Amino acid sequence: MVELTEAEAAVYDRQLRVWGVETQKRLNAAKVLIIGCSGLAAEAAKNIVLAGLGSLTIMASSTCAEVGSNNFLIPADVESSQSAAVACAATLQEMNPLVKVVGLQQPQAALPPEATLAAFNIVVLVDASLGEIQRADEACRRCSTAFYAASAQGTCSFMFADLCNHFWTPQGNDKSQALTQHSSTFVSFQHAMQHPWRKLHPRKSHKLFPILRVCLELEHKLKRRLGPSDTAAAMQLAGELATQEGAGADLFSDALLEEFLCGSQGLAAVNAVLGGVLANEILKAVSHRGEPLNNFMYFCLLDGAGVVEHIGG
Amino acid sequence: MTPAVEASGPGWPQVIWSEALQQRVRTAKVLAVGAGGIGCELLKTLALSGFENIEVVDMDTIETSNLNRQFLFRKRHVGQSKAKVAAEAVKRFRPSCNINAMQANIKEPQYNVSWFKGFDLVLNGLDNLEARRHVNRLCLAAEIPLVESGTAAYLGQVSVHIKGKFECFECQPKATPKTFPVCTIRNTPDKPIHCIVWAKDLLFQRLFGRADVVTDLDEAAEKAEEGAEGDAAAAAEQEASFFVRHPEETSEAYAERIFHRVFCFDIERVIGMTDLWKTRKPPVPLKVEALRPAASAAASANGSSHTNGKQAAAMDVSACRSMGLRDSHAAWSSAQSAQVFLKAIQLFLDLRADEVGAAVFDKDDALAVEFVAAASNLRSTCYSIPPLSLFELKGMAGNIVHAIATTNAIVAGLIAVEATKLLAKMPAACRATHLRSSVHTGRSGRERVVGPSMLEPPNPKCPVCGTAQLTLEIDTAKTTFKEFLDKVVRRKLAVSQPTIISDNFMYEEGPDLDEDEVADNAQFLPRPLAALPSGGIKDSSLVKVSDQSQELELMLIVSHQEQWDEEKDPEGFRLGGTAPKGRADAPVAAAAAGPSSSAAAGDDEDDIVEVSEEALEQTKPGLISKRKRATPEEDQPGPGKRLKAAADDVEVLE
Repeated sequence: MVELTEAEAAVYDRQLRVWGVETQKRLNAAKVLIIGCSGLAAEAAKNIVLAGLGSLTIMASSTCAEVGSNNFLIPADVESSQSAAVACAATLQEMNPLVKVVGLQQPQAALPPEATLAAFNIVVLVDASLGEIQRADEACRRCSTAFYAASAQGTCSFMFADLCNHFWTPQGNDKSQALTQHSSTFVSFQHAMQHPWRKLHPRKSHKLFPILRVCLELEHKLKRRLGPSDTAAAMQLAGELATQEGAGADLFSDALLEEFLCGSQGLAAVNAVLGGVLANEILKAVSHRGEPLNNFMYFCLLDGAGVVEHIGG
Repeated sequence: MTPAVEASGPGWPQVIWSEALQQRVRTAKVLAVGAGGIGCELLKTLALSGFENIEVVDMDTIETSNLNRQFLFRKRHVGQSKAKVAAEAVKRFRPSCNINAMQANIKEPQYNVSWFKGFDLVLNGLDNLEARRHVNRLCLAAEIPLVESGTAAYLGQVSVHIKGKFECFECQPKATPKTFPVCTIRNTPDKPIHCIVWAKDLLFQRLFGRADVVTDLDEAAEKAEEGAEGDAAAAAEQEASFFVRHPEETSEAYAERIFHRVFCFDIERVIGMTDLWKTRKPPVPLKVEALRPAASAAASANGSSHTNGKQAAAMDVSACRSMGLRDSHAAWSSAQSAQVFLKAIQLFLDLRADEVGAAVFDKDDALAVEFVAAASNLRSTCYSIPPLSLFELKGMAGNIVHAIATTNAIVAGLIAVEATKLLAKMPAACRATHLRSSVHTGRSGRERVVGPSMLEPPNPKCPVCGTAQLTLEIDTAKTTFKEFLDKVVRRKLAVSQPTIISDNFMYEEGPDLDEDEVADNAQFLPRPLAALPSGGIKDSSLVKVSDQSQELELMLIVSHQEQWDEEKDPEGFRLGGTAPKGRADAPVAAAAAGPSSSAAAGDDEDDIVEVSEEALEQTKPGLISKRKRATPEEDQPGPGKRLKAAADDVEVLE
């Protein structure tokens, strides 16, 4: 692998003390694609570009006027018809000239062809609908590309990881331990969503998981993204699913569903927290260092906890 | 889950969507202390969250090594004020946000209690314990809620402090900086850090630093070797004079003379102390002739140092670069260390002559770091300690923080969440939150990477926000008033502008004094405590220590103690505490909290600092939230007089 340049050693000094030269070299060779241009996408992109990558590509169909004001990578005085992805890429490129940053405006919010996805080590889909997450995950599985999805809605957020079969060595300085290779197997989003509710812990299981399933099915039925007006229909569907699955009512939280369907983009603070955890995971995955999060993480302001849960394995 | 505090209206987090709270967020005036790693992220998240009135204070300027995480800064900003550049960068994406940036130290007197009272909230993104304690006291005095934070590598934490409701920042003891017995540093090192401390605090200081600064190390050595105290001064002078360059001496000859002295002559002298080597392997002296490369090719190929490089910026001079040693991650051979050592001394004398006698070690000074690294590795060779790479040695010698962007981003997000709860007047919803590095899902299939916990009520025995009295055992006949001020009042109690009252004696510091008063006060400094006016500070004296700037008042009950075992109490005093009304069983937190004088110095990196070595290694931060109440004695490892090791100068987060 390519040795670090003097410029890289100077800028990356403080993080080399966290993860070492070997990990940095692997990061410097990685190619990452982020699809989406929301505030959450900006947080994740900022974090991984600062860490150093071979290249980051951002794709989005929206213009600067269309993306929410939570995207701090877009200057206030930018031409509003400009591609949001291109504007973000320009700021990121300036933030770290050692990384190649590309912004691409997609014609429509369509998933890129598999040949495009296959050119990346990791594809990250941000703030897409649940149906889009499922389709993108399937496409990435077909071309063996590692996949992350992350979404933040108001005070609620979650991320999902599907690294197929992932090999990794532990983080840390212990050289004998660092040589031991481990593997983790991931399941598809579709598979995880079909996880039987009766297998979930009635109290301890995170309340957002059943909500995702309900919303995925309702999206499918209505053939569109959900909003605050769909809360009642979602609650009804939740009841039906609970009966069908033979699960108790404790599994579901109406309060959390209302927060999740608030119709707002993720709050800045929520984006910051989830975007940080997501970036840590992307860096672990591309460097094959550190045990990866498998496979859901939720962060909601209702309880302020960031909970990792393994579903469907 | 969290009950709403206000009887009517939405609870947490629904309240976020209320127009009333959004209005409050827009109009609230918040103080952000620090514009570094956490600060940059915090300013961004606050602005995006709707905050429009922010004051930010940071004394630091931007450095290249900040750019991997302080994302508001660019290469072209290196050398400029962090606070000012950060404020402008935020305005670029959020022009409606008014950020007033000040490049200043938060401990300056203009930031007094009434100034703090002008804010609704104070949010800390600080990098050193001393400033944290200072801001804590001002927030207590001004009765303004404080959100405190810290990060190190993947670990982070956020806590909320409200006077009378939750613990203040000083209610729990803070770990003391690691110290090493002087004997270990001088005679029997067995770890790389011992050699680094010797190279940095003793040898660098001797060769390039101020001659009048006698370190604890020297002092102890002279006492130990000469026995009688009267001879110590003379011996020290003789010792020091050896390190002075002779008038006609070339820099090369000087460097070799020093090499011979410290790695051969001194080592042989130590070998002669046979008692030390009964259970240890004695060191091996090094001969400079044996380490010189056959043809001396490396040095001469690059020409002599007497080129026209005299105009080179001091920080650009590098022994390694001139020798072609580019891989900072490879450990040097002894011969390479010897070359760097000799070369670094020559370069210092030839190109930076005006600094000799006044230099201060700085982690960003390449030549100083190279000198310390080479000297440390050579000493390690003598003592059969494995050598380290320049990168590793620089980290330890410069006390460099381990820092990444993600942790700061997450922590800043959590600060903004707590700030919002405070503005919503929902303190019951506030939490202390820890960020963990592990994502093991374990057998339960579930784990918290972001873990909130309930905030603790104030500790009634806290000497800062509670009512404790402290006891001070000290030799009142020998300890001068200046030593008392420096070692007890400033270093141990973190008081920045002390006023001392004992009976009718009063001593004051602060910006309001006129010249006469300052001169009056100065005459007390060299006097022993017992010889101060109004009967002096002696056994059973009650001393009131206060700091107007911090609105802090502490009572010290003094007891005179003549016999001190250097091994057990290297500082020569003991600070303990009791709660009032005879509850003598309670050890007091503040006594254990000894900030190092260097912790607040400008050589700190940005972000945190306050994570112990163990915390860094620990995957679960249980340690961070430990409820340990230690007496000062408990925290002192091993015997011997201690030397503060700046390299390990990191404290536990909370």
